Amino acid sequence: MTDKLFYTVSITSILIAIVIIFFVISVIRYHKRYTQLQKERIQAQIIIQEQERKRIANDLHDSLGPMLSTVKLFMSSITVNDETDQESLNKASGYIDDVISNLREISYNLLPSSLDRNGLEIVINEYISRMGSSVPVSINFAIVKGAMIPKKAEIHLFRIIQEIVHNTIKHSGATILKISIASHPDGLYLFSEDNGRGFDAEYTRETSAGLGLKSIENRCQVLDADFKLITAKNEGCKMIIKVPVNN
Amino acid sequence: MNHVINFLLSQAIIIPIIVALIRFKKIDKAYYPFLILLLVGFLTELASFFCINVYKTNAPVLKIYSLAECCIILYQVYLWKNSAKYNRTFVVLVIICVVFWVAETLLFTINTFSPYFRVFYAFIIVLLSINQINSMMFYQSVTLVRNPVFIISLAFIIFFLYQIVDEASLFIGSDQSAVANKIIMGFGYLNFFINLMYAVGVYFMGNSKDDPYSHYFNRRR
Repeated sequence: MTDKLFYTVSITSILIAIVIIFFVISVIRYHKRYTQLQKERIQAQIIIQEQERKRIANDLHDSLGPMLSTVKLFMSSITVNDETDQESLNKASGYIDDVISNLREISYNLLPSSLDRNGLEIVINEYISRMGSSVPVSINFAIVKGAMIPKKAEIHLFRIIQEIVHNTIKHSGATILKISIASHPDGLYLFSEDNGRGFDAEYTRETSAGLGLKSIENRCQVLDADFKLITAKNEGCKMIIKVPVNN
Repeated sequence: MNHVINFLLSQAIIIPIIVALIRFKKIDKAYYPFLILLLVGFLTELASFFCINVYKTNAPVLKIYSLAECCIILYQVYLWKNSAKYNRTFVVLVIICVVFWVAETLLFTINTFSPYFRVFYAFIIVLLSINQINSMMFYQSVTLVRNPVFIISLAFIIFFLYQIVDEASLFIGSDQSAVANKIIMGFGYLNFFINLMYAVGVYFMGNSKDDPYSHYFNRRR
């Protein structure tokens, strides 16, 4: 009887243990698939977003830009004798110049056309110099010599840097922002550091409706990159992004 | 426990059947195997009561019911999976179960109680139900507590896990161990509770957008 009891209890326990193990494995398996699915969704969203930006940028640049230039050309060919009319024409012509320049700016922000041709370093330097003295932050950007940036990662790194710069200008109150990219044996590193007021990362993640940080995280997910945010109130903000070598 | 009380507790299966009859027009075809299972369960309870009183054993009824229950639930889970990928898996599972049942019946005869097949298919159904629940937890954005598939799968897990323990207790013998006796006695009450869960599950069938087979999304009939 003792044997029978022992074997029955043992077998029942084993069966229940298998059920529990199966449950845990099943949760892990589904979670893995779910994470993969989420990543694919984000990737698809970002690809669609980039395509849409490209289309709008091209439309602005190739269609609206030349049209406005033509309008300006026609306006300059008009001869008027009245001084007031001439002044109005000059003003209108000046506004058209502003519109064209704004259009170029918008088009550039949507998609820097030179990224394919010139590479990330030039484009980022151009982006920073375009902001010029209009921003209160001094931005230092450097790519360590020999850093190999995968072509596919360039657009994502550009967007991440754009987001970092935008966030620093808008929220941090910093006067200096340092951004650098360096190659290491285990991957490509993007460092950023500002001397701003910093923030409570946990609290901001939970309460903020802004998409800046989320957007950086999503881009990192697409790149399979690790993202580390080091910040606290009144201690500035540091970001480290590690893009794996095989990406 | 007096088998009359046990019989009365087991008749709680009427509750989900009544709910199903009231809501029948709203229930999708995908749930029909489960409704058939309820009906078969009800008839088995009646047949068992009759056999115990007349022949002093309900072993044949229970054995046939076990096979029917196993096949119906496997078919139900297969319909819920709704994927050609699992066709072969379910066919293989049904074949294994039927072969197991035939082998056990030939070995112990149909008039003898034997726990092996009941433990085996209970184990299979628990694993399938766990898989079903996990898949819903990650892939469906509906409220799970109102989802009939979730409620029924949860009921299956509780019921069949208890069935494994109950069969083990019956194998040991209620007269041999006080614990085994209590477990066997508890089965009737658990059965009652599970029937209430089934009733809630049937109530939510086709009732809201939380039902994946609701006509709210799906007009297949």
